[in-house]
Amino acid sequence: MKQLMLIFQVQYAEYKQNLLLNIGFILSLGIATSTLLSILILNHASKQQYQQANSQLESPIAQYILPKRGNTVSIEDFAKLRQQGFNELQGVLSFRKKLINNQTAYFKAIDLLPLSISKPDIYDPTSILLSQEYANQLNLGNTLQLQLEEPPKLTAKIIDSKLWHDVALLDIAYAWQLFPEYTGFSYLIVSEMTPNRLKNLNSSLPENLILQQSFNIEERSGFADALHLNLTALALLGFIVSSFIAFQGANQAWHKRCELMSQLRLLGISRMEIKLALMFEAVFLIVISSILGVMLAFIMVSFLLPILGFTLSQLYQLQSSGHFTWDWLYLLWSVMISTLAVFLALVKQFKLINSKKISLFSKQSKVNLTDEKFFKNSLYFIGLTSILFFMIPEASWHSIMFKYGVLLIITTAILPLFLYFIFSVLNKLITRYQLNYILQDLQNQISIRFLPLAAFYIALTTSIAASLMIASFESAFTKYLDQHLDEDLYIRFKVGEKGKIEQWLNQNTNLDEFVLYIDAKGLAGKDTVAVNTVNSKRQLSSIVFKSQVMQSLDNVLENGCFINEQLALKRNILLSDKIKISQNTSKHSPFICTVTGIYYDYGNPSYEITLGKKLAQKHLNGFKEIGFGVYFKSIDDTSITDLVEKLNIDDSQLYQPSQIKKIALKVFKQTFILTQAIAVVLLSIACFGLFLSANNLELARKSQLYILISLGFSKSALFFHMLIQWLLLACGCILLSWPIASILADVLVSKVLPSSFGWSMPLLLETSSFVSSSIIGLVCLIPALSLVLRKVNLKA
Amino acid sequence: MKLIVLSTMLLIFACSEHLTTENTEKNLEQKKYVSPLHRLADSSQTYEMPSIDNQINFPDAHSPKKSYRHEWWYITANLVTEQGDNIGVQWTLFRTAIKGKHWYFAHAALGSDKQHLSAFRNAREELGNVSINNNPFIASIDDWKWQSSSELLPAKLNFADFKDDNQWQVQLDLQGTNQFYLQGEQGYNRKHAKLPIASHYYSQPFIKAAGRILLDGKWHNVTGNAWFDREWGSQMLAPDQQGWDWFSLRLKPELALMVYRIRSDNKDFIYASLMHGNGNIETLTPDEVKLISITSTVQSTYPNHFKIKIKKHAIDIDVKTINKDQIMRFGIEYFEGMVNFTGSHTGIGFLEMTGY
Repeated sequence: MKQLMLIFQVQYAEYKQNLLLNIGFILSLGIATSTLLSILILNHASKQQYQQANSQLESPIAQYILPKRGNTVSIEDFAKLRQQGFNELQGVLSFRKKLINNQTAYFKAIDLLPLSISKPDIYDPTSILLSQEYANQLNLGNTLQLQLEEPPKLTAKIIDSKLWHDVALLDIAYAWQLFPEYTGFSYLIVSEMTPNRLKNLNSSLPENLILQQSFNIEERSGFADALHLNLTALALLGFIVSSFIAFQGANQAWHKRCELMSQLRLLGISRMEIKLALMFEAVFLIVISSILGVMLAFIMVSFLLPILGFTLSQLYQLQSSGHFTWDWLYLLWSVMISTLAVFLALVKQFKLINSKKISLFSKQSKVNLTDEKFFKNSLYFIGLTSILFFMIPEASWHSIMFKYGVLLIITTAILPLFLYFIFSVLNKLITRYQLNYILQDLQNQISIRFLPLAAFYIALTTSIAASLMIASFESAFTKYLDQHLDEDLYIRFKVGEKGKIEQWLNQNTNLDEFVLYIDAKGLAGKDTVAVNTVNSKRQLSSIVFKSQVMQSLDNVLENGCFINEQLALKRNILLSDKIKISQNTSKHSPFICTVTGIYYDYGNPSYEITLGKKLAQKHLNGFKEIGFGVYFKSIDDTSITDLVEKLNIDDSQLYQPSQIKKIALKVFKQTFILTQAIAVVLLSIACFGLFLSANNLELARKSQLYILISLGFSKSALFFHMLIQWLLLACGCILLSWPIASILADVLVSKVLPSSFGWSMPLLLETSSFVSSSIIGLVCLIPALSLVLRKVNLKA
Repeated sequence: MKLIVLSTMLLIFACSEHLTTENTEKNLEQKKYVSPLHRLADSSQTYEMPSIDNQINFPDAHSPKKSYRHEWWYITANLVTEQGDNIGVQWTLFRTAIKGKHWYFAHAALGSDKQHLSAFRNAREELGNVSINNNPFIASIDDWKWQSSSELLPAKLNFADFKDDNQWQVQLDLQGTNQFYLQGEQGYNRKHAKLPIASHYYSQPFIKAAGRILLDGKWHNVTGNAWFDREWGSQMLAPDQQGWDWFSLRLKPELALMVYRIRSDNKDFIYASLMHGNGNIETLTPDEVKLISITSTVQSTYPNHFKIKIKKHAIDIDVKTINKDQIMRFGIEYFEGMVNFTGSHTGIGFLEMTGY
């Protein structure tokens, strides 16, 4: 016991002696813990939000039942369907009314009684309910009077529910009572059903009603996955980067530990007690780094959670509080992560202390490797990991991510060789003595400065790759939206509405052009394929081709056969390959065409083929007319108001692509805010690592620096000597990181995305991504280094 | 393609019909647990209150009483298949009012010792999917129907659920006399020892049931006993009351015992009655009945073992639930299922537990 106490005293003295060094080491352990912990907490804290998102992704409305003629589904039809057991049906009445203040109010009436009973403080079946936002939009003022152009005069009630933000909500029976001109439903909504049941429903529908599939919103689940993946990958990289720093910290803080332990062995202290004491120290480090990790994670999560909440709210209209709630589970995670971090940081030191030399003969082993050995080991490591790299198959996005993670590690091992090589070349090219000295000195410093440089390199490469991916995504998506949503207005029509809309379009003098969209379903092998058609140059120009066979416009319009990238990847179809489309209901034999174009189709989970209209109608059947794309000479709100009022069509049937584009881009940008924020955090951690290492490494070679001063170096010359060396090393890292980041970004957009989501995008090698990430790295580095080097210099 | 892009984009930020409204908002409101049964007791509207002076006449009593806040028609049946398996069936039609508007809903369940299947229907007169007519009593809500051929009995009861892969259906012929047992004081049934909370309540516990059920993809012929209850009122529970444990037990072919206990922060309210096949009903005073929950609620949300002692009638039985999963989860969660009892009497019955 006494012996154990003696070891503790030695350990305590060691901490006291090198206080800053040990604080840096503990801090780096805390950072390693916090990076992974904060993302785990973030994912856990947002679990509920993800669950809500998923429940919303599983659209509650699977189908709509619409009237074929007129605008109403009768109460009798609804009741008959319910009597047949289809209780998944609910009726909705939607209509608009002009107010005397010239605003148009959009009313939605549903059965409000269940909500009124369960939440009487929010819902009221005898009132018109408006969100404050919508009341402001309608300029209702404080009185909340809804003064319609025709009686009755109504008083609205503010509803504190974000879900009904853009409608005047009311109970359906109350709506019929207030507005006797409405006697039924606008449509029925149908929640999820089994395919058999859906078939039964379809066959049970009266003649005047038709079943229409709801819009598909599965696509959004892809974005949630992408977000999750981004966070986890970045957190793991953050952990690796900070583990590098902690490992470097351990090398320095425990530099003399072997020597001390061998001395203690000489004093007769047993090997067992030394091990026990080291174990206690490890436990102490785990506890301290856990606490520190939790504290740092708490700060990071408080900063990141509102951003995550904001991103999710943009994607799913989820109302998240962004508040952080403590869970004791986090402490357990923290202990587990810090144990791993301590183990990774100290594994080499424990191995040295536990070596036979110390444990049996009480002799100190050699701690530092020679440069030659270091480079030799690096070559072995590169060789072995390269074999691993080539052995990993590119089967799924997980294996692709792992494979290119290995590539990043290989290039990290190449980094010292690369630096050694460029500094040797520079040394040969430059003939100034002072620079030659800096470069020669630098070549000798590479191996001992490797760990912080590796951390900096990984953080920088990841940051550039993420930035390139985001830039590519944004650019490709903007181009796609610009080209794809090029109409001024899109009108989706219900059964029986086509004629009146077409008539209105033909009579409108402000119209430049309108196109009719038709589609059908077919089978390519076992895959269901949506069939679209093109019939005008304008329609054709909205397709964003990935690859295309050049041919004349007439030929394209008549014989064009294009498939989306998803179908090409699934069925491994290349340009000029033949594709066979069959239809179960078709009397025609299967239609075979040569693929003359493959187009991008972001976010679409379905397979698709686009044909010249004539070709399609000749070989396929079952085409449904779905809507008009309208190009106005000049678009203004009056055209749309006129359309809505004259034709009495629902708001939900009109889409203004320009507005959709604007909001869609905003949403996509929000999705990546978190990625960018974490990439910056990652770079900051790496710079902190460099800051710690510069401090320790330069202090460690004080004796060499004294020689320079005695040789006549001024303080400022010494400062610049050290600063230039570090900057050259950082620039060397930047130089290697650019091509590697480009490869990683290319892998992300051309391999990981198709493998996980089924679509790719062209890589955009945007200079600003390289420059901005590198500048951020350098900007963080220069003040950090200046501070340390000045301190070292003053001491010198 | 264009449509998909448009609709995808639109759905990312546009408001669609919010069928999940309740789910989304539920999470925000679950901070403090208050029994949802209390919501049914609150009222901003004035409804007629049950009175000891009201005379209950048949068959008029079967028709809806819309001047009261809520009411229900309730039937349970303990059935046996040809193979000798016990089957429990429950069907309840409710009406509840808010601000003068009436909402109808029905719960149904089919259970065995291994599984419990349940379904829900909701309706409004304005929507045309509910109708209740009397003499003969015919009640239909969506595809579920009670069709009497004279007064209330005999009747045919049909209900089913084809929504999921595990489809089930119940078709029963109910035979019995139109002889009803008025609970409490001539059908005025108190629910609180001090406060004037009460309902109008009558039962018919001697109904013969026969028919067939579709379970696990097979039709089974069934026979057994059914028990009908009808209740209406305007208040559900007092603030000090949490919920109730209600038992319907056929002690002998011609003797039925009904016991309920309304649990309270202060003092539980117990009511019991013995109904004889000859039409006599004997109401017991609370101190004549001992009802003890044996199983701790720590192990499960609902107790699964009770002891009922009525010394005066030499009744001392242990009542145990047959399947602990017989829980109805439709907004207000409650246990409703088969029980068996042993001791001074042996048999099978039904238990309802709410407010846990």
